[in-house]
Amino acid sequence: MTEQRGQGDDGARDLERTLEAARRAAPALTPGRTQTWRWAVSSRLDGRRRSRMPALAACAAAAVLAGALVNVGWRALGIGADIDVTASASRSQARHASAADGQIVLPDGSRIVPDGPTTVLAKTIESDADILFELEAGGAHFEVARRPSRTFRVHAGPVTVQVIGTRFQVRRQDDHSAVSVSEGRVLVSWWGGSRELGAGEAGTFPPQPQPQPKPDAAPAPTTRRRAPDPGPDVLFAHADRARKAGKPDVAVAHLRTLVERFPADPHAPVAAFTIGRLLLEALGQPRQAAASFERARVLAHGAPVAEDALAREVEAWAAAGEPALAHRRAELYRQLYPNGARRGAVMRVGGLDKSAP
Amino acid sequence: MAVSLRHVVTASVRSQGSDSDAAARQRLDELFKEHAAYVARLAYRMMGRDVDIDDVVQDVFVLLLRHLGRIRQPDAVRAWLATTTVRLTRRRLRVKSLRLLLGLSDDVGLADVRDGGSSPDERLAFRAVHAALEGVGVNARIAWTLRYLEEERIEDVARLCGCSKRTAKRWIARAQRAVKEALGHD
Repeated sequence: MTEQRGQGDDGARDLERTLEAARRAAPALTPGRTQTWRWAVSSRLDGRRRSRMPALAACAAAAVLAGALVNVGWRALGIGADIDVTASASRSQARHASAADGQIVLPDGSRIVPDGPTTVLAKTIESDADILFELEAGGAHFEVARRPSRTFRVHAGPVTVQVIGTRFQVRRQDDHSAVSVSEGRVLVSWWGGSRELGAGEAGTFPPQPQPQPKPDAAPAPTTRRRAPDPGPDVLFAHADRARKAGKPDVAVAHLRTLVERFPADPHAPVAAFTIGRLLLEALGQPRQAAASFERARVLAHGAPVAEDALAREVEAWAAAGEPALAHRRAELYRQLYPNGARRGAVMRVGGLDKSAP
Repeated sequence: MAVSLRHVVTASVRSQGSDSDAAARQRLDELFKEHAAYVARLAYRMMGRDVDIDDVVQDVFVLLLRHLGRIRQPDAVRAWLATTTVRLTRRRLRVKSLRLLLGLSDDVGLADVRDGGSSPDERLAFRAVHAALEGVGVNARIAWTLRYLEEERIEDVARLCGCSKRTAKRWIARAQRAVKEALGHD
């Protein structure tokens, strides 16, 4: 009896010990992973807000238009000044906007002046470290206050213009964008290249190939204006939705578009990392996954996600049956992140942990 | 310079949006700093696998940002997060059970490369516990996890699971029997 009770006590103690150990188990919470979550949440919220924008704009436009039509109708009937008050209020609002020429003035004194009525410009990111404008159509003149601690960028179709302190002009031209600099310097980048422009310089980017003369050239077809291409955060949100809907291949396609078209965007490293994860975990393509993780690491430029990307690259090469490559990457991890959060797993998977079975 | 109606309207809508965007982003950063680790740990303990928690954490914070205006007391944020994490995890565990029932694979390969700061013993114990819980229902699994791994009180387990204390006790007892049996401490 006493022996049975003793065995029972031992069993309870064993169970408690197991539970204590299980309680200490924790998920991998690296800064890179948290950053990835934050970007994903931010993109999903942006995507949702953005989808409401056209509806909001249309409602507001319809309301103003309805007011104007009612006013015209009342005037035609020769009725009353009361309605005219509303109409003049509408006009004064419009005058106020046009008096400022749709100008945007940022708290630091930077000034953006749209070229004209066709300009569609949206501020998509504004933080202490980063400001991003999306030029969807038309052109605008930018006077950017010098703040070296902040990155000021303008996405204009396939081109990203990055500045520190300068005056420049950007104009969308279908698949290209014209950039001219009045003061300072800017870095214009696109998929496949980049170029610095100094004061007085101008160019159309991506550079257009030299046209080949054709003796019997057919008449050019009439061009149709394309809808504005989605920005990186919209692509990220599309990819996230596809991933959640169980369509990893569609998600990968969106993310690849993002990485190819916006390699300088802060979303790009996270997008490349997510491509790697989907290829590795959902699509069973570890070689391509390894390449994607490597791309993420290069794009991250030492940001926290680079550590995660290198760790997952080791895992992908191991899964692809390339122990030598996994080993080499694991050594690189050990060298770059001697106290990294994933060191144990990377050493084991990369074959550097001699005690592993 | 004339500015079209479209531009005025669009600029107006967007300038309002961008102010609130900046505030929302700042709030998101603060909330992440304060609560992301808690939500991740809670989801991890209930799901049992590191690779499964990314979507839960993201979904919880997307919902939080959308419902933040309705949470009146700052202290209530954590409780709201816990309840929402439990709810979303339960949904995912049910989908997972269904997939397994239909014979669809849920294998993610070398998932254990993500082992956080845990030692091999801790990982082993954690996996053993979750292997034992595979056989019990989703509700019992979640209730037991909250009681024994998260060390919540019975009334809190009941609140988080949205059931009575009596039901919570019944679920916990059922899961506890399975754990004892599987770990050989019966």
